[in-house]
Amino acid sequence: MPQVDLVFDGDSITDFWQGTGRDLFTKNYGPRNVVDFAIAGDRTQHVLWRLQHGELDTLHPKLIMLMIGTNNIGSDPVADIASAIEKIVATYREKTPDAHVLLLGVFPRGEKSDDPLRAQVKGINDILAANAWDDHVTFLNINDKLLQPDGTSTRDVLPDFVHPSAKGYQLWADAVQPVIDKYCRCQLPTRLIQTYGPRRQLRTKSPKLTPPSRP
Amino acid sequence: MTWLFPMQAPAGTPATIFPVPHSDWFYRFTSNQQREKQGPYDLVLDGDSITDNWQPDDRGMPVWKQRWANIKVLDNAIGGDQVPHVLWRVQHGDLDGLNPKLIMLMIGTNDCGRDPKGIAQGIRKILDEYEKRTTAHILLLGVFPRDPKPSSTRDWIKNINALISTYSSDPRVTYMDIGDKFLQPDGTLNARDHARLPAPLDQGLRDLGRRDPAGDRPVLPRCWGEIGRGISDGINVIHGIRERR
Repeated sequence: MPQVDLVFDGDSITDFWQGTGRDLFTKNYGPRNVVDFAIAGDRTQHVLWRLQHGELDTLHPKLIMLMIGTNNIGSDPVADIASAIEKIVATYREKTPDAHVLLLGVFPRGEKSDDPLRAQVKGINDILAANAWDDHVTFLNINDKLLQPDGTSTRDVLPDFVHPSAKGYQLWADAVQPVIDKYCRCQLPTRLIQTYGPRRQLRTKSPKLTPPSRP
Repeated sequence: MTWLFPMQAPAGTPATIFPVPHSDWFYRFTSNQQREKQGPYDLVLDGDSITDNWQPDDRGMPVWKQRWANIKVLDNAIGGDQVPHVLWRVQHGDLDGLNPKLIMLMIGTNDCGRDPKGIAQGIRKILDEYEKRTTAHILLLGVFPRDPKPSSTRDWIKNINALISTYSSDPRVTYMDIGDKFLQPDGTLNARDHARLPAPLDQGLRDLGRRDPAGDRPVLPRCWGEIGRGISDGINVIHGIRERR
């Protein structure tokens, strides 16, 4: 098995790191041996199924970043969604006891701050924030970074008021960077990453440099 | 073989914590397993989206109602299916308990571009599974034409149809190619009726929802009428299914 240090999990919002956010994803997290398990459209029950069917069984990541639940909104009560998220985190803790879990609050939905979807999102996030997590779990709500000061959502960050733009992914990356640095150190000198991008490209772009060996 | 895979949380368990695979296809398959499976059915349909669209509430329904109101019909087709998907479904209990008299299959358009020989072998394998699991006669349809004008896709379809047409030497299989019923005399497809089959259908099929201003009847896209006629003629000729009037 290749070494995997950083795991992303969730729904389309996380899945699209491999689409809209691809450049940043490769640049920032490629050297951190990232794998993105998120699948667009997933609800909590789908993540649980994936976990029950081997997703993390052979991996020993250092950090798992999860955001899930937005696809359950409308079908399930807020309390059920929150308890399912707690169950997913508990499953991570059980399967990979050494990994730290970065649990993100569900991203805002809808344009205006009084959108009914916002209340649902807030309901979930309030329950998650109030939960007594063990010290292997960090709960982080970065929604204020994605919204205007008055709480409105703008199209340059969340074009459809759900999924981030490239700029949105940048804001997201900046907001979680301290946690990622703390629990999942970069394996490459920063200078190399910034100059040459992901390791895969080193060989073609700069024949003089030998690619650093993977630990 | 029964293939029951719980896709819905039992009563009392919140859906949010009941693990299920995220697959609409699998959901369709398992929901099909839970339908009324008390045979014998007169006719079981199988295939991809083209056959799937016969389903109740879908665009083939008016013809279904008109033609098959008095026979027992079940549609097992799932949109997007390729030959191996149908094979998997059949091997995992799609026909259990149905005891059909006739199975109508059209499959292959989603495999377009692959080696026709392999696809034809796959279709043969599906027929073998049908024969093993039921006593039904099989009506194998040639793949319907695609693209407005002759094209490489059409050529591929011609190839596959030439290969599978030989399966009618099997006494339990009847092969019919009704594709030319959709074509104009010059070989083009009528854009209004058929242009983008089997992709999301265009205006001709969206007309279904409209009403004929004069007669207050639904305006049927012609191609579905043709399919209905072609197939029900075929059924009546080939097999002893009489509409119970």
